[in-house]
Amino acid sequence: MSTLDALEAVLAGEHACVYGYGVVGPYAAEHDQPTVSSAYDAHRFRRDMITELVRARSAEPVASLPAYAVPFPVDDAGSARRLAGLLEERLTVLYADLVAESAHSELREASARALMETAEIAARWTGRTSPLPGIDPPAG
Amino acid sequence: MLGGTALVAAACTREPAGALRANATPTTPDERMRRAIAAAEAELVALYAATRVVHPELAEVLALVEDHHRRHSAAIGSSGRVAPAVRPTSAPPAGGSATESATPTPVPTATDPPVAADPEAALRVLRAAERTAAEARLRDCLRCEDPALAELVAAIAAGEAANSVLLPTAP
Repeated sequence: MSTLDALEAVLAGEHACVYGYGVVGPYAAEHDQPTVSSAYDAHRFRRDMITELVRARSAEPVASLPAYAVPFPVDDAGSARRLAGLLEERLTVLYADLVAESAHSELREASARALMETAEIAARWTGRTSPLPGIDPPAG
Repeated sequence: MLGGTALVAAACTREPAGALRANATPTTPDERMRRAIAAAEAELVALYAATRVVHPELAEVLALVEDHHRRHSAAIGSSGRVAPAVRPTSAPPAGGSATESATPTPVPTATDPPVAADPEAALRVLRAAERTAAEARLRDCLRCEDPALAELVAAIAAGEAANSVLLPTAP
């Protein structure tokens, strides 16, 4: 994997998260709405940042898909939380890969911080964490 | 599956990166960093163990997080001085065997870190310690020469940031 491959993988993951939070939002509990909103903003911010980093390497940023298959029905607050947790846990893996592919210190810092923030919000949604998020995500 | 092939392909579990050279002389900056991180993790383990002694009502959840720090030490490859994982002594598993009863019970010693008597204050100290450790590991990650070590150290930072939000409020 190259830095560009890792950037594109993260970008695809961020697109999926932005879409996914659109699914989560309408069903999330009232008290979860601030977390949904800040997570949604964070994913859009990082999506735009990664898009620019791909362009800076004279490559074509991967586009978002018109729709994504959701792995289980989201129809209440509990399933909304579960999907949000799954989205974040999967994203930690992509950011961990990007850390390993970041020779440049600014990119390494941005990707390591994104890994940290993503693991933190995953923990808020799921109530659990693994010792090494991104390398060894929680089972199941 | 949500997220397309890239998301799924990258989601498989891998071996923790860079777990090696437990007894090597720390001659390179990366080796010295491994030693320093192992020492910091051992301090966190000691803080959790001391807190469990003072607050047995929190023992179960604290033992879980303490075990995460033991795993960080093991993964960083300087785990020689870290004691084996513990189980919470206040909540033995159902049908616990002689093996389970042989797990270490924390005993206060003169060198234990001081622990607040108020459980919420004690938890606040642990949350702050996790946050401080996460930020320190994030800075360490930027100085790693080996990219696999950088990934491991970033994952440790992420685990500690997650711990800081998972630690409960006092019962």
